[in-house]
Amino acid sequence: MKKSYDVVIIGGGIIGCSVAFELAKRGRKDVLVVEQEYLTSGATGRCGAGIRQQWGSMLNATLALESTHVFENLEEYTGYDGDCGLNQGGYLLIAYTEKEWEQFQKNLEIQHQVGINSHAVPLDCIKEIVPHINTDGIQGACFCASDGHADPFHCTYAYAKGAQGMGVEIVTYTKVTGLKVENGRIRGVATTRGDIEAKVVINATGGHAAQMAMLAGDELPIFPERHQILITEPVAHIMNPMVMSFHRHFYVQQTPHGSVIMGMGDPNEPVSLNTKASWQYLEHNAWVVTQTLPAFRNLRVVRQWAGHYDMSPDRNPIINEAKSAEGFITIAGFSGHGFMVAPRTAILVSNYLTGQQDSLDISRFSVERYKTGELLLEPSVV
Amino acid sequence: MKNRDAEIMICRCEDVTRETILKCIAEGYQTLDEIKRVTRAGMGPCQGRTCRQLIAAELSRHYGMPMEEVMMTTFRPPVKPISLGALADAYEHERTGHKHEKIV
Amino acid sequence: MRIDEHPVLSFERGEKINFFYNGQEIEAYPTETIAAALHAAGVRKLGESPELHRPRGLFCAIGNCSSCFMIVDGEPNMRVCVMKVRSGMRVEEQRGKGVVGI
Repeated sequence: MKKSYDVVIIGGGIIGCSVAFELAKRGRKDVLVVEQEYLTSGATGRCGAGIRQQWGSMLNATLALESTHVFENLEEYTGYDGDCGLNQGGYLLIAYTEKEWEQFQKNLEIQHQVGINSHAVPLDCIKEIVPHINTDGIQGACFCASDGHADPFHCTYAYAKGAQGMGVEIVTYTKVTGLKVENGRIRGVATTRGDIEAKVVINATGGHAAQMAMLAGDELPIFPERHQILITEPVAHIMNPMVMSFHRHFYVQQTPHGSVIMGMGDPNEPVSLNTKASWQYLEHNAWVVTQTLPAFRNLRVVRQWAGHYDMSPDRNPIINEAKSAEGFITIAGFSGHGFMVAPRTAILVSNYLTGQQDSLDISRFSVERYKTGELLLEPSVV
Repeated sequence: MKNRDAEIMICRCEDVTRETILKCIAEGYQTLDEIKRVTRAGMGPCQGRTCRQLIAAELSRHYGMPMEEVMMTTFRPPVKPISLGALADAYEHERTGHKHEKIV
Repeated sequence: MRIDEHPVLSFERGEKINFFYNGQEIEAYPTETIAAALHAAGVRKLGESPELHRPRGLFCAIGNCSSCFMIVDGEPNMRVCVMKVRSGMRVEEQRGKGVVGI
């Protein structure tokens, strides 16, 4: 580890590592990624790792579609010799209320405009996609065959190793303890392994992003919220797509390995950095999912854990350069869909940092939008 | 000397051999958490109850540190596998006092 | 083979029952685990591991690992070392990942 770098990235999750890779790819290689534990120790390693293109806003649909294209070739793209575990089994979104179903139909129009191959599923065809589903109460459903799921660890290692191959350095078990700001500019970071100078510091710390940004005098409305998840023992293949319900707040997916992962949002979950697992969630999630998928009653849970969604007020990411510290850029607030849009976000940010054109306007993501009212609204989030 | 490492099972649930674990360490992974995520050792039905200590022993040997200093992975519930059906019924029972009631 | 004489313990085994292993009828006692009954009947291989298809049998024998996974009355991933045998039970070798009935 040197005493100074061009860019220091705080956070070794999918965002930190993908940005490092894309920067190096564009020639900005003097980069250090500082991770406080092991790579993916934060939200990335705890997430459901779903990849969904079925969004309700042009922006998210675009981010997701273009990110999916990257995921489809991630091993080749990064030169990774492992398997990123992409499984494009599709997402079946089920609507349990009329209102939800109306929203889905609106969303489909937007998705089609962007070029996503999603479609409505007639009620009597749902069982062709998930044969053992209980269709009671379902008002309508949508499906997108190229939606899916990947391995968050391998995807992050792919970016990390690819970045390292181009000269990026990554240090783990190193905590950033302070930020050095002078004359309205970021100068570097203080860490448990010593001080490091940097021209640009990127804050990719997920649930900790607001805390970290405060050290640079940047007040950001990003709030960590615990989300719980469980996994069962691996069994032979019984379900290909992810099944998701917004109304009942759950998603469930069988991984290529055979284990079934599922998660459920709690509308009463307070803002906190809690990652403990609760028995109340365990029972509730089991009950909710087995109502829709009674065949899963026989699956045995082997582990439950939790991670943070980094929530923003309009549930879309914030990419913000601190007014109080030029060169300090926060990329967080993904509100539960960071993994699936990371590839395109990393491209956007690294294009910006290397003076290259991008079809997306990065300024739309700044925190200013909450003042001007130009919110990035998205109707369909779990 | 014949290399037996490809035949020695470390994670019996996921069939991860000693050879794979040693290769992982040689690639620079230093902790149980990393090795688990790269190889899946410890992610099977027994959740590392068998292999956790074995992998820790390999790390201890390789890095010359005592076992007590090898960072453990997080111990998470449930301590034994439990079916979704049993959990769902418990929820149902607590909520309503009835069993197998359908939600509206 | 079962232990009949023990310096300290005495065994109240109960009445003999029968169960099925891979279709074959096997004798057992209701106080035993499936694994104990199979072991007494000379069965050592209980199934095959999911990734490398290794033949496997008892390992921890206390319900802690997953080596003894078998299919019992159609249900996979059963830890037979801690399950009591019952008359008429159908026990089969599990080869690889369990198939969950839908």
